[in-house]
Amino acid sequence: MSRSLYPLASLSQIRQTPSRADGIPASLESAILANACKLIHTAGILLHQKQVAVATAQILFHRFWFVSSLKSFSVADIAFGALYLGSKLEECPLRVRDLVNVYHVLLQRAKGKVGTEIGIMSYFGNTFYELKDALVVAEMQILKRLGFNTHVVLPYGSLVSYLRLLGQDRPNVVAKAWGYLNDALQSPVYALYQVPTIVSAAILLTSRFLAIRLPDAWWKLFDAEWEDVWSVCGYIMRLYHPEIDKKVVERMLTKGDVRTWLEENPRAVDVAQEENAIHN
Amino acid sequence: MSLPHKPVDGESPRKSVESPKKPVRKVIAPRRSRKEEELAYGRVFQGCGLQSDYDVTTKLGEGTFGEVHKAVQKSTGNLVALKRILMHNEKEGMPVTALREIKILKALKHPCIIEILDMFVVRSNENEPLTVYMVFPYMDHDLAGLLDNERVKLQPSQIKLYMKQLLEGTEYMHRNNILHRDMKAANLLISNTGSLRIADFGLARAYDSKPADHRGRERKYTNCVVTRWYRPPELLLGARQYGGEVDIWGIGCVLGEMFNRRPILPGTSDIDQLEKIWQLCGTPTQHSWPNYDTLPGCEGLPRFTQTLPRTIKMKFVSVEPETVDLLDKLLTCNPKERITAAQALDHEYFWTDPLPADPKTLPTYEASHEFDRRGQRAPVHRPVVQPLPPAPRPPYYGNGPPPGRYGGPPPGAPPFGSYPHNPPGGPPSQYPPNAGPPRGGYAGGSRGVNNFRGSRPHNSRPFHPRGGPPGGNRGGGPQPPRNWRNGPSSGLSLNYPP
Repeated sequence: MSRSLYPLASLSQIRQTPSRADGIPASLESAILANACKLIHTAGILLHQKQVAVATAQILFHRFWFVSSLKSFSVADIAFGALYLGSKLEECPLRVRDLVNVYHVLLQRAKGKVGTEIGIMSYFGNTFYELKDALVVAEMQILKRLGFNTHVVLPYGSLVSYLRLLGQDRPNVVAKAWGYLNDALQSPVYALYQVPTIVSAAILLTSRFLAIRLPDAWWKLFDAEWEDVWSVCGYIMRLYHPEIDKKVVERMLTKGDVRTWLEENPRAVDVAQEENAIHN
Repeated sequence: MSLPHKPVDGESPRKSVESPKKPVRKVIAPRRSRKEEELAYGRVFQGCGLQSDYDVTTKLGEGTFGEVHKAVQKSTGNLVALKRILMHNEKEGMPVTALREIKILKALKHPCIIEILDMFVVRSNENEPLTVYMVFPYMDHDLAGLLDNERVKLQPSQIKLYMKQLLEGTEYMHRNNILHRDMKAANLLISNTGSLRIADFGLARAYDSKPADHRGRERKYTNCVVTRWYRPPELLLGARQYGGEVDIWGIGCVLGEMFNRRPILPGTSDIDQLEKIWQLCGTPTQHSWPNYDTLPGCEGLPRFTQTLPRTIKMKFVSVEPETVDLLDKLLTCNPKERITAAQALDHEYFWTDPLPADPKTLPTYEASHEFDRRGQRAPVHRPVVQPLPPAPRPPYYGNGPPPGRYGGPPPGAPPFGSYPHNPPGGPPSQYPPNAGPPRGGYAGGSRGVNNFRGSRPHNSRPFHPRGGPPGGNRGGGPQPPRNWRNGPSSGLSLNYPP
């Protein structure tokens, strides 16, 4: 479809997401979301799902958290609901049974179980129906809260043509930038900026990493602003230096987990509220 | 070994899932009202409203797609149509077809394509599962209902106006790589202000205008689309690669139907449909449609013993030559040769007199929807159905259209374009000429006699509100029940020979 623009989060939504309004620190929020996006990615690989569906799911997933709080929705349910929805939207639907099986395994893994410790889910067991219902409910919640607006634009096509235009379409350059774009799916940038900005950021990071010289102010060719490109670069690079311990985040998959953490860390909540006050 | 799915340790089999233990997720959270939402988020969200925003008045239609209700949007007072999305398989969540429809409708923005105003979700309760509604602007008529209403007389200029909009909408759609795949009169909505809008994108999807992708693989789509009477020959022959041409054929059928007042190719089965197409358009030859016999559907078909000539020009002899020429180009059997929407808009037809009508001069009709007509007509006319002359017809088993009188053309059917309102093959009027049918005998009689409310089109023949001109049967004399409109549903009734 020719529509190349998609909805973005508004300024007020960015300034204070619903989760932060509920006292969840920004660093924790982004860590939980990044972890959930990794889950979507892993599930996509296990299900042999196409990357377009996985990317669509991750983008919808990030949009969702600009209208909903981690305290009211379980992050893993929404992640898998998004994958289910994204697969339907990109015309490569998954069988619920397959998706639930993978979901179950990944939940077990997140609890630290490996190999044979992961129990096999029984075919007609409660677990299956509960997980399946959760998926269907999550899918509907995403649709409802995004106003059934599921238009997503993926950046890969733009990346290739931009690199061609810059005369840098060597395989190693494309692969590196492609990787940055995929990693960026773990951050909320696709809900904050349009594709040209994000692609320019990926190219900028690549050119620095591979020490490629590009013409002056090349991003202007693609209608991107330097501040925006630099900000996206920041979002991407922060993914490689997590502030919060991975082990803590990996176990926070439900709203219950998040609530427990908030109760156990009252000081963090206070800090978050101070942060919010400063931002506003 | 062979029962790996037996429930294991402690986990109960499926039946007990419904036991009161299940629950945690079933706790019904209070739903936020608009005000509470605004308080919580500092803004009101668009795109997904509440059921309470609408006052439902009457039912407009139902079918395989679900139900459509007429309603009033409380905040604006506007009339809207609420389309309920049928969750065929509620367990699978939102149906892919509905997602496609919403996505496509939200992406398309054109005056000739229906717009989606809002959506709302009604949560499940004991009686009803969760349902999703789509909100559309209310349109007074659909083309099928309009054509079925004898009081409505379409002028050639009016037909041209509708065709222009239909082709403009289709051209826009195809330019954006969307196929409608269910083009038919019942899916074209018409307002009293003369605007036509393409609706029901339940079967629509995006397509690749290039036939093969970069790996040389060819994209294949299902051929189980398009209501049978409007289905082009290549789909009937099992083609899996197609593009905009499938919609163009349907537009041709609609154009013919506007002159004919009834579907021009009402096949009773897929085989019969092909027969009817060959009768009208001639059997294909290697010259007119190269390699048509390599289509998968040709294998099981009996050889076409006789070669039939193309008879469009003869059948529509009373219609103006430019119109017939366009019809001829729209109903071209070879999909590669079929005219495109853009080419059709450039056709002589739109540039010769009579030019498309000025919407302001159009008459206003009573609301006529396919469903209304069905509902009104059946009870009124059923008692006076005349037994039909027995026609040689195989017994009816399939789920195609019911074997009504319009199942096939009567022997010696008159040319298409020249249908009078009371076709010669039809039942004779019970009433002597000059005497209209008795009061209450109207199909829509209870709604008042004179249903033309607006100005009359100039150069239209004078309208006789009661019973039509002498000898005519326009007021709705005895007619067989026309329930053929709810005939074949799209795609789901393929009966290919094994």
